[in-house]
This record gives sequence, C-alpha cells and structure tokens, in this order.
Amino acid sequence: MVVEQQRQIPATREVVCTHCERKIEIPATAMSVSCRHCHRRVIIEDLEIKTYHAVLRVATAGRVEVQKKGTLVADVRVNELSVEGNVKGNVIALDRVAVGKKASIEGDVSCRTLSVEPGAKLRGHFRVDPRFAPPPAARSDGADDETA
Amino acid sequence: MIDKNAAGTPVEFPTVIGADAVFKGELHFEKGVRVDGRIEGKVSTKGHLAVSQGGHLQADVEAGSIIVEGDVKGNLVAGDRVELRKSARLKGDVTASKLLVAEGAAFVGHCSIGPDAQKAPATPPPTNRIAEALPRK
Repeated sequence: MVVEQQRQIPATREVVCTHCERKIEIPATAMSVSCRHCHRRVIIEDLEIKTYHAVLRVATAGRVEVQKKGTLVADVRVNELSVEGNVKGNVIALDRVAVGKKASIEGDVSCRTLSVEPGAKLRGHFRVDPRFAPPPAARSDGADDETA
Repeated sequence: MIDKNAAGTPVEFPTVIGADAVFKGELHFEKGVRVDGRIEGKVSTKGHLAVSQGGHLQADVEAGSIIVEGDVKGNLVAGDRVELRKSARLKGDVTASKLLVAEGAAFVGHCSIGPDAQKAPATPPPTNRIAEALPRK
C-alpha cells in the first residue's frame, strides 16, 4: 500500500515593490525581501504607529496603521493605510486609504480607493483613481525608514 | 439610491433637471435639486444637490449637502457633507464639514474637510512639514 505523502508547499503571496512598482512573489511570512527586478530592499511588514513618529519616509509593501494616539510625520508609501490618528505628509497608497472619524491627514494623497468617515479632517491634494498607478519611487541611498 | 443619503435619511428634490436638459449660466435653488442632465456655470442651493449617474455638472457648486453619482468638473462647497458614490467622477476642489467617498469613486482635487473647513478653503498643504512639527524654542 502506497501512502501518498502530501508535500507541504510553502505559502506565498504577491506584493508590489515599493521602489520599481513591479510585482514580486514572496513567502507569506517574509518581513523584508530583495526585489528580484531592481535588487533593492523591500520592507513587507505591517507597521503600527501608536505614538509620535517623525521620519523622512515610510515605505512598506504592507499595511500602516496610525492608531488613535499616533502621529506620523513622514512621506508615506504603502500598500494600505489606515488612519485613526494624525498624518502629516504626502501619502501614496497602492491600494486603499481609510480615514477614521477622529483622524486627520495634512498632505497630498494618491490612492486607488479612499474611505473617509464623517468627522475626519483632510487637507491637501487628493488623487483617488481606481486605475491609479504610482510613479517609481525616487532613489535614496539610505534606509526606507529615515529618522528626521 | 440617490434619494437617500449615506445615513439612510430620505432626501427630497423638488427640482429635477431632466436627462435631456442642458443649462448654461447661474442657477439658484431654494430647496433640493437633482441633476440628471447637464449644467454648465454656477449652481447654488440651500438644500441638497444630487448629480445622478448620467448627470454632468461643469460648475462651481455651493450647497447644503452634495451627493455625486455622475461626472462633476468644478469646485464643491458644502455646508454639511459631500458624498461621492461608487460611480462618481469628480475633478475639482472640495470644501465641506464631512466627506464620504465610496470605493470605486474617482476624485482629483484639493480637499479641505473638517468643522473649520469653511473658514480655510482648500489650498495646498505647507511644504516644510518636518520643520513645523519640531518643537519650537
């Protein structure tokens, strides 16, 4: 009797490189990878901003959540952004931006979909387009998360 | 349904601009108006303004609240709220107390949303944000 052993296939997922905007397939549990197209480091992990956080740039192919008491002062380039606190800076989201009722965003926002709860404060130029394709990120020599 | 706002409250439109109607110029309404046709110019109303899915608005609008399902090119100023439904296409600045954007809506323009939005209309944000955020001596 032949017992078929099911081979465990490692789960993968597809993300978009925050530098060259091309799709890359990565292990589901990866926190950061090198893009096979542009060979640059791509941060995958999700970030939670719970307090005051001022940096030059936040770039991740994952999700950034700015919680109620959090303030993020940075140019943000993410897959998905959820704001319950404050964001000061330009935002480029490859997918969606969700703004809670007590949240505020000061800066330009580009994304595919935007959801805003009543009570949110928004100030800046908004580009919400379901077919939005972000421009390739400007090359920086430093890390993706630079402290101001 | 454009006859209900996002909260589910029915909205009345005593005036309906029909699908085959084209208006050019300045229009003022005392109560709500629904645009199924086309308006070019300037629109003001104390009530609700709704642009239905086939409606086209190329105008600056001042209204109590605005619901968009069609195409709008122009600046929107609402005392209460602006709702962009999933089929909405808006190119222009928005100034309102509240903004609701449904998934699928397209919007390009400056935004000034919040209780104080009417005092400070939509303008580009300050450029030197980090210097502003640093504590001052």
